[in-house]
Amino acid sequence: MAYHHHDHTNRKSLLDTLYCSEAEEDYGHFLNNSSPASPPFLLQSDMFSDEQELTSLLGKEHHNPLSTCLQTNPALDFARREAVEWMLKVNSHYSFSALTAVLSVNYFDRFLFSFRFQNDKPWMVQLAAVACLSIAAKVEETHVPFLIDLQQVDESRYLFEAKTIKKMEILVLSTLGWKMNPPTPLSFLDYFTRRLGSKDHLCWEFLSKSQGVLLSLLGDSRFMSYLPSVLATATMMHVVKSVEPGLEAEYKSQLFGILRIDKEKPEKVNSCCKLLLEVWSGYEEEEQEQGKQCMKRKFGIGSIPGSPNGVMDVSFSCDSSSNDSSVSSSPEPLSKKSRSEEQEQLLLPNPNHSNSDFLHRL
Amino acid sequence: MEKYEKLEKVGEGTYGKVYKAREKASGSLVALKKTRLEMDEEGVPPTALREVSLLQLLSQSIYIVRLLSVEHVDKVPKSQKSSSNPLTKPILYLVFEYLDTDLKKFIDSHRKGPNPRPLPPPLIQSFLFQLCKGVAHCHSHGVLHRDLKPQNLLLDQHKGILKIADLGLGRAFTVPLKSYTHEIVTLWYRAPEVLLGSTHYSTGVDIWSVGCIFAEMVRRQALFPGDSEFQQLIHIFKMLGTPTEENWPGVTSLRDWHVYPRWEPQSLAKNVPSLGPDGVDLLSKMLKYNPSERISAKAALDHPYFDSLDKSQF
Repeated sequence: MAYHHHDHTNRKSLLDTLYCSEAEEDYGHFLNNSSPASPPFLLQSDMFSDEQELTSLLGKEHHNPLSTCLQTNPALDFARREAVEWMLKVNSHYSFSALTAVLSVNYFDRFLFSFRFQNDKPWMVQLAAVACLSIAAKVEETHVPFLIDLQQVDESRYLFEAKTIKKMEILVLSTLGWKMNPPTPLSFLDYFTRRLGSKDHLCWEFLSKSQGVLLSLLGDSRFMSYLPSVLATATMMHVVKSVEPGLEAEYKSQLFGILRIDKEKPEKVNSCCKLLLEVWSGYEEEEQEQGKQCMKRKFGIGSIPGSPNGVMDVSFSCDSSSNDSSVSSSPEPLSKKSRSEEQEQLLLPNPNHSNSDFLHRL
Repeated sequence: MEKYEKLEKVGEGTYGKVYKAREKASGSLVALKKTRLEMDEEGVPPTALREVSLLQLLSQSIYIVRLLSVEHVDKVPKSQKSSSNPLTKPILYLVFEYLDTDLKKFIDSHRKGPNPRPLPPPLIQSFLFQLCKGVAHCHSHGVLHRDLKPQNLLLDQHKGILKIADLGLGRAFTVPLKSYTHEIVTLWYRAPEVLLGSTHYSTGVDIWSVGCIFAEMVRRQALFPGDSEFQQLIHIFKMLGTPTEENWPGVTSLRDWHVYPRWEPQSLAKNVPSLGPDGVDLLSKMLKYNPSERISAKAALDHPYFDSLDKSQF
């Protein structure tokens, strides 16, 4: 493997060049730990059976077929982008980890593909987003906010009772076969960082920048068509290129060697790099045109239009959906009520509005 | 759940009762772990979520208990049965392969009762090897168990197989290590870094627990049976000596570090008198104060203590 051809000194010099203190390259806001002191790294080099672990990761990864569906269904793509934007805002608000963000979007996308949403129930997408974020936080975070608090970030259009979210959580979990630890681009990022063997600040810096780039791409459904290993590789190459273009070729061979990028994968990596560059250039152009804060400093992909006041009359079904599960009644949109009224509606039973048959199939 | 016939209640898990049951179609025995969701207003409990998701991740190892399925039931209470629109109680059942006993019961049966006797050294060796295999499997998949203790190690006595169970406190770990909760692991098996308030712990917490379990199999009683966090530390310090910056750099900076009396380390061999030199050496490597010096599960498998073991059977 290419990795073995580089001695430690060479590896170190590669990492040295990744350190960059320029403000415009600061991705720290994407992470819940922006302190300069890097957290401890794993010390036992034999903790992971490297080859075995990579084989396992590569064997389990696959891209979500939803990407094809979204290309032909702009309404669903819009709803997805809006939901992802919301999840990332909540993730940022509560300083959840990058992995929580990536997992919540992963669950959401897998669920979206498997579940047929009804066009007269637009709140279902938001409910699914709340459930997916809640599940990801429970899987990954030490402290998880109450479900009511989770929803009150960024004035959500709908507020759901805990029992409603609980039913949706179970529906999501059973639809996904309870597989809550899928390989994500972060899995490959972690793996590569460990293989580099560095435990210092430079490695942490590289990891944090790469995580930042990855998080900024979550809202763009075009990246869903790439395997996690491909997206991780393209992201790391992008970070190297933005910091030290001269080292790109050397770094690329090392990266391809460690992550076993061969056969048809190099083409995919190049295509992903190209798209990433295009998206990143778009951010910079938008920044220049509008004189706004750099888009790199935002979660999500560009600015997503605000939620319409009325109910979106769009179809959330997809030809490739495999599940005809339906939902029988909707909670009332709470956008016109004051916060205290919203709380009251959630905490007190409403005699005029029964939710008892909601998600009845569960 | 009509597929299963409940036979008897066999215990309490992290979040509900555990039943021995029979699958009607095949006649095979299973363990049903019941989680009552209405108890938790905040949705599916994180413990249940983590246990299922981690077992999905680790299921290919024979040294981890096998999760066969997850069943969701909406139970209608008797009081609601006549209602046209009954309020149901959601229940999750985790269906596991059934094993007839656990290591705690097994050790107890050798310590008290009609025929007290030491555990045969080859059996200790075999159980420890299987435990290290299971822990190595967890760690190689980025999972910390965080609650290893004899009660959570299930045994098939007839086949001599040991399996790790109850991942309710388990979690996937990341690089760099995140800050985790320090309310983990039953006191007697809790690593000193956790007792001293560290939240940036790693795989070493499981290895410490393995060391305590190893010693307990040999002694037939717990190595460090503390009844409070403070007493637990005192038990450890009295046997292994009070840690210092020399043998554990950074220890005095840990959140709950105080100035403790200076105890000198005792001979570990005297505390596990029936264990040979190789066993004592492995145990001492598992009970190193500095977590980064503690032997890894994978390295433990190659320790000379296991040289006399026929590894081909594993």
